[in-house]
Amino acid sequence: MYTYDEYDQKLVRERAAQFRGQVERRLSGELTENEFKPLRLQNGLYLQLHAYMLRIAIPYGVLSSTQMRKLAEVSRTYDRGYGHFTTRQNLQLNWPKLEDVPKILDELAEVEMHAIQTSGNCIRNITTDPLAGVARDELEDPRPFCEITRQWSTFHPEFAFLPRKFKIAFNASGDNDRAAMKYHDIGVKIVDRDGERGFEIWVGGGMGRTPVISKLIREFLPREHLISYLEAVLRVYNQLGRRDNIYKARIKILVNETGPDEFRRLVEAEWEDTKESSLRLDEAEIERMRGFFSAPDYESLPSSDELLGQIRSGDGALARWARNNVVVHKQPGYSAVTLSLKEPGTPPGDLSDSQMDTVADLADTYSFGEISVTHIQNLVFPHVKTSELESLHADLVALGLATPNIGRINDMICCPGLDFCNLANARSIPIAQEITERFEDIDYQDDLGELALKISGCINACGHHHVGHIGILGIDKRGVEHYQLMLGGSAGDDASIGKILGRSFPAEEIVEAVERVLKTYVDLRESPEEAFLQTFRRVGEDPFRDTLYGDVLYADHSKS
Amino acid sequence: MPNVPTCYVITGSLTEEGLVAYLRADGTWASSIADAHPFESEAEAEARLAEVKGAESIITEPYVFAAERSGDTIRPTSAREILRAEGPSTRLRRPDHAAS
Ligand code: SF4
Repeated sequence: MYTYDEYDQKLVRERAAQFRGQVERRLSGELTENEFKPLRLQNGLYLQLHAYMLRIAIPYGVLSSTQMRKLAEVSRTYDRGYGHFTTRQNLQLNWPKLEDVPKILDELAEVEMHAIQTSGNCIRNITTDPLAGVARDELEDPRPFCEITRQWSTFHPEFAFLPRKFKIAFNASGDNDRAAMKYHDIGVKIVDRDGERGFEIWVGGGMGRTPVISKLIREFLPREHLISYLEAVLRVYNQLGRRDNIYKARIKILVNETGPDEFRRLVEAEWEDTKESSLRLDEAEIERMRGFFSAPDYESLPSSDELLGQIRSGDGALARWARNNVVVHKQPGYSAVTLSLKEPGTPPGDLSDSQMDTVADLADTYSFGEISVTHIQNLVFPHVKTSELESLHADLVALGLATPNIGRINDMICCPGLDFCNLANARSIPIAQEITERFEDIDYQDDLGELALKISGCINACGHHHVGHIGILGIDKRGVEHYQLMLGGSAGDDASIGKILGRSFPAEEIVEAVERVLKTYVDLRESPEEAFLQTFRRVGEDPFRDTLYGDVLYADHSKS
Repeated sequence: MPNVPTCYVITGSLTEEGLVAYLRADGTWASSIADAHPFESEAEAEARLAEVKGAESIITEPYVFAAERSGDTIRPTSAREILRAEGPSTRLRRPDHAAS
């Protein structure tokens, strides 16, 4: 993984020292909250419903065991002994005291971590495939390009005050997009054209109040131009993006208003002037960056596909876990393992300090000390010897992180919602917990097959509800929590936005409504192999609307 | 339905800790809504709020909200204020398998 040079180190330490001074001035009353707010947000510090919340950056989701241990220590010392992994592959602490935050930033700097680019109207943490570097279907490891983009974007003076936040994601696995690339302000897809490696550039995707699938504005960008082209997109956005209305300030609105063709023309015109500037990447720099992400010291082993097949073909807990939570690896003899942070009854994405410590130890034992965070709020051990899966499984069972539900209904994305978030309309965690408990039967989950359920506590859509096969959105009806149900979304390469079929449900009815949707799917699917999304796309929304709103129980919901 | 009397409460976040706080009658801040001073009228609460806003180093983003009052009990009515008063409705950390 990338290691800091003296500049990175200095930058992060100076930033922590600067923030210490700002906190002191806030506590002494020298700075008002209005003056302090933009400063704290530049350091990932929010003021939430019950307390401050610190969002710690995990660039493109890559963590070392040393960093995970530090996160455990920080959670234990300065917070309430747990952290929450987010859809931007970051970690949130929900209870830090203001005076402790500079100390936390100092501690994080010791292990090359910080909270920069996790808030504010800047280029946010870059995200990518949690299987980057090990996925068999990837063209090449996208992380060197993520890191190049991170270095360009961190403290870029021109882009410190964009009209709104700006999110970039990379995908290197063709149609198997595991980074929700098409819902980003910029999505970069690594592609091959006639043997030459380059990028597709997708612009103007996003969720929130106005969900939009991004538009392809360049079919092939030679890789040496990555940064100059990103800069051209940002310049056009920075100049023309709206600043008069927060709801219309994201680049998706600009692309929509100018039209993709005109937007492309503007970007290309800007790029003409800068593409041969110092922003041009040379091969040596790309190679240097690749060096940081070179493969660990793998043992030379024969293919383990057959062994993995054997493990999967059993009928016990290990077999099911190997089927659902383990994927093949590009290195013979190895597998990649997802640790489920979706144990029934617990908040999705949460991990206690002691679990973090043990995860770090297990990463050292089984995965060359490497861990990645997924945008679906799980963790991945990217390099596990297939012959050691059984032993790892036993260790993860003891830790509560072996729930075999990856890709199943209970593997949901869930934002903090009204239990923590200042912007929320409704709680999301209790709904997630009720769902995981209602559908805990893993045979039932396996029978349902691939199913992405996503919950947000408000229209900001941090829980990606628009792109859930089943999406749930919390709304406020005269001070009472209600939930809107939507169906048919997808975050993958076949991106689609979920449809609302009728009126919202009160909290006590929403899980029952989900169950009705599932029963309808099971009744309508052509075979057990036809996944929920396929069935929904084949039969359309009417049968689901009927089941939700057509009978007596739901009669009053269908009135409007 | 009988009319439940409404009162007005001043709340905010403690600047040092970020924790929820309610204004007491004596001008100090309490963590429990039970200790909040119930203002009879919104105007009275807003007038007091204007004074409180000067204490930036103690309280951040104070505001007034309406609540129901029965006897000595102050009950917030919106989901948001109920959760602020009672804390998260979910268990705060996962069961600690690692420690067992
Ligand atoms: S979706 Fe809304 S409630 Fe959920 S974390 Fe985002 S802003 Fe908060």
